[in-house]
Amino acid sequence: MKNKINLILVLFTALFFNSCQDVVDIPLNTDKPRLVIDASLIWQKGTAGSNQVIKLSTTTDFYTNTIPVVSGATVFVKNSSNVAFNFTETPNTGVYLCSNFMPVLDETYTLTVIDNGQTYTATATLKSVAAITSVTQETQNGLGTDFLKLKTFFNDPAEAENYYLYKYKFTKNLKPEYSVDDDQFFQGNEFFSLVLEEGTKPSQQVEITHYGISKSYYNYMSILLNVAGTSGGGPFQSPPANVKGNIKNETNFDNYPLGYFRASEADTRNYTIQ
Amino acid sequence: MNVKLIYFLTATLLLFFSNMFSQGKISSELTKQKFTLSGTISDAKSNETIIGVNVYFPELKTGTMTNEYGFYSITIPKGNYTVELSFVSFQTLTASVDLNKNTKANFQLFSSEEQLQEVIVTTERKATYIRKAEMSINKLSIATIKKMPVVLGEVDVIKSLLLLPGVTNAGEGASGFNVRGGGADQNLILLDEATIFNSSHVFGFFSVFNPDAIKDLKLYKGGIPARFGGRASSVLDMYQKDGSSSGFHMNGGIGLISSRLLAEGPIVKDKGSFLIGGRASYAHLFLKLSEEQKNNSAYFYDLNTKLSYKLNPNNSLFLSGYFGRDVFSLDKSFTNTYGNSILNLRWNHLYNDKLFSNLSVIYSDYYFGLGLDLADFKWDSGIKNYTVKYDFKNYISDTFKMNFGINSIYYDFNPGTIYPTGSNSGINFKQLDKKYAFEPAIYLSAEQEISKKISLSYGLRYSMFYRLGQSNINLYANNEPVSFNQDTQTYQKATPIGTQYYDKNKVIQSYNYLEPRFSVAYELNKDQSIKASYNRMVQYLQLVSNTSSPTPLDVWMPSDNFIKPQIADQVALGYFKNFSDEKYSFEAETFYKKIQNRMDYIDGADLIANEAIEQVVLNGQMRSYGLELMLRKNEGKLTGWISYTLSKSEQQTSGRNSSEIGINNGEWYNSAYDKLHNLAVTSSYNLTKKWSFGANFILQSGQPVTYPNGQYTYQDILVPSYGLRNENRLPVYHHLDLSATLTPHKNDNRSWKSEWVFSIYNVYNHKNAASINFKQNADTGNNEALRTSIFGMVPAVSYNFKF
Repeated sequence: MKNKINLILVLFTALFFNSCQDVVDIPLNTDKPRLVIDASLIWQKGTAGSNQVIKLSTTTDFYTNTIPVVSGATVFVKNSSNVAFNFTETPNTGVYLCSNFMPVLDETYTLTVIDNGQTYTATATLKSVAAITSVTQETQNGLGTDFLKLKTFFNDPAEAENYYLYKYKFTKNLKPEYSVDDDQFFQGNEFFSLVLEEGTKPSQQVEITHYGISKSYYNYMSILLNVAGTSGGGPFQSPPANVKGNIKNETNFDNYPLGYFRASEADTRNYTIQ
Repeated sequence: MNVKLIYFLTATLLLFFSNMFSQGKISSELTKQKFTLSGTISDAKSNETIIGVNVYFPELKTGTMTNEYGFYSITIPKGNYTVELSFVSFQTLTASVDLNKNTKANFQLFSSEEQLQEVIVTTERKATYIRKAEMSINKLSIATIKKMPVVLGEVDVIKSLLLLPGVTNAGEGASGFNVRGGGADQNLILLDEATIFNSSHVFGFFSVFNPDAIKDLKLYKGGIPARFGGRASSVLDMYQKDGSSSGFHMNGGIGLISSRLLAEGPIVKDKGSFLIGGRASYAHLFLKLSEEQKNNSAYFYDLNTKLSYKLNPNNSLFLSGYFGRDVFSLDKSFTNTYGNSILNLRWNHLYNDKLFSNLSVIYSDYYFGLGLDLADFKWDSGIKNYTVKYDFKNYISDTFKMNFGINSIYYDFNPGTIYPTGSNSGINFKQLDKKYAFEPAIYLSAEQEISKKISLSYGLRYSMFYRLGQSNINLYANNEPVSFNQDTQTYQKATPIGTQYYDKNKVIQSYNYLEPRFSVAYELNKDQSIKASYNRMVQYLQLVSNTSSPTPLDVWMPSDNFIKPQIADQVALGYFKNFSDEKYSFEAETFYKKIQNRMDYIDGADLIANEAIEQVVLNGQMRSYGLELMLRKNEGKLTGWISYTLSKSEQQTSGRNSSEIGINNGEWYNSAYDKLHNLAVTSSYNLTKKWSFGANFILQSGQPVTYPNGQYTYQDILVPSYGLRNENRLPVYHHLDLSATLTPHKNDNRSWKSEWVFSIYNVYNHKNAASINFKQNADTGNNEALRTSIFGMVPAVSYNFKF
């Protein structure tokens, strides 16, 4: 719900300030490259969940268009019974794949990445998610232009603290839109995720995914999404900071990696805009 | 400690003082040498009392000033004297007084505006007060403020403060103001002695004060008198006009953004008066002009009212009220309403011709409401507070004046009530825990001239604070609501290990502090002095905000068992000089301010609807220091000033123990209010009776911000990476504004007087950055820096009238 307030503030600021934005040339300093580990174990409802992807890259100059990938690293995940699942790189892509993963709800996994003589580790618990029950569509006007409003409903399990990551991927867009939620204000109720999208046309596709996440990943993603420039600027902006994840450099503590290791159950709906 | 006991002690103490001072009167009568001259000084046209009139006896080289209620009292040897009464924008009045008994004398001054048509203007007293032991104080008359060029022609009390040395803000469209490197939350804003929590309309574009209803304002940046307390950095003390008791008048104005109308007049001639003033914007009309915006609206309004009644020469009553609201609505799916309301009853009583008192009973309220039909809920929050103040001023002799009183405030904070709207809402009703607090204080201070060269002002305030139940208070392991994760070297919210329930009015946490105040002036000669001051201020209320300027969404909260009151210590040293027969004055001040217990937010702190703020803040400190220079031209066709401030404002939050890194690695870093250079020039030029011109120029260092030092991708999200906090700065901020006021000749012979004010804000159309955002362009896929600027060149015209 807090995120819905945020969403409104973003739109509101956009309405107020968009007309007075222009691109300027601001020279920036660049810090030395830092390893980024993008490790999300996802178990789609109704699948075996044996195929998993982990991506390794580094930070780079803000204004360049290419993100350097990290090749030749050793990547594996172990479950609590010490069974290892190895991730093999598609050569020179920084993309590491595993095809024999065995997901179990509430199981705890340990990630190990060995790169350049340094060992990075993290643990994550596989979180379940409530199934998507329905999707509704409305038109939201009055925000300067007409928006498509989609609500995706689910039944929040009572008696448990639940955290959600919502992802909306419109085929017309290059990038997905994310938001996070906690059930503090809708504990045990039927609730929904929400997206407002400009410039959509009937028959376009949207892929909607809800993920079950941990409290600490919820905190991580709230900060990351805020920092990632979705906040639109204006007077409501809070000071940005580097977002540290849960992965630790065992070899050299100060050379911490960015990114996160998490494990989520996911439910996906493909929706066609009416 | 027991609250009732403190009250009892205070009351006893006050009675004691009152008695002591009435004894003083007897002893002065015994000498048969000295008598008291006292009374009120008012505007001849409206009977409106005037604050801060200089009452000066040239033969004795001594004098006094009228207080906030236009009252003065001075005890001097028997004799025949000339008395000079002077005040900004009024003609100096010279009268002779034959003082051979205690005498009441009420004087009336003519405004220089009135005199324009009849006689030549004699000197207006604007020069710096050399002898008085008060420093770091700026007064602005409403007449001066109204002549300044302003954005969209909206005369703005708060924005005019930004031209003063040591005062800045976060930029255009940002609310509040920063005094000597302090936060906007550290300013005590008083309207008719009632606290105003939010001073802005439309998120900071305009201030909530209707300039037509304001009589006087004074900004204390340091050397703050003991009668004020509760904020760390400054006090902005404003009074509303009483209303004319001599005849019915109206004035008003029509501008591009809002229109104003104010009516005042007698209830009982020369005894009682009323004032009612309203202001409303019609910005929503503009929004509605465009087809796609037709269902949206954004507007504000405010209403000022005052009833004054003089029961007899020794008793007056004032009832004043303010009500203001901002309303935003987006197609009914999002509505946002917020604003202040105050209601205040005051009773002025003269115990005798030397002892003046004022009792105030004040209700003040700040409301913030959000309605989101989009997500089917409504959100209400706010602060209510109830204040009782009893202040005494004892004019013991011409060289000794005493102020004392009590002050107590009860707060009722509502951090949020969440209502589901509509039967299908998935939101549960929720009342976030209300917070209650009680803040009593007593003070005693004196103004003393110990020789013709040295004047002192000193005082002591004893403030107390009680955070009261009922409330559930979280308990944490090691009493640490923020935990430090050694693995990632980050601060995180700790999970409460339980809660403790406190009953209604049970004290959860209490604080008390002695706040000494001291200032001294040493007169080098009649035109020069040096002054020094020290003050300690304790702030028990905290504004939960980590944006650079406050937003209406920010929540105020009381100090509690986790969040400690801010304690500010400030020293200032100044040099003051009038020259060329007081035509010019020069002021130089240097200050150092240190604030303990300034809270700082851990990285990624979420503040909206956060019920446990203690989990995202750490206890830090703040310091600021600087040099302020101001050169003023007080008289002539061209008047105005140049002010320059060189200053630094920093904060530091160290780790709580050696294994923690603190915020920003525990290093001092620039606070969001750090402005190294700040230059302001304001001037007005009276060309003819018909035309006058004004100009403002502001140039200041860009606001400290954090720019990215790299980027990466995570889950297809492009993320900028950052280094330490506030290491970069926005580009330098500057703009030049001009105004021209046309007063038509035909005004001369009629009671309807009018003027046209033409203004151009930001003449050379400089795009000042309000913020710079680093993001990916959705079309090109390239990363870019996006500047948000609020006002380019803005021409405006407004029409003002009065009769």
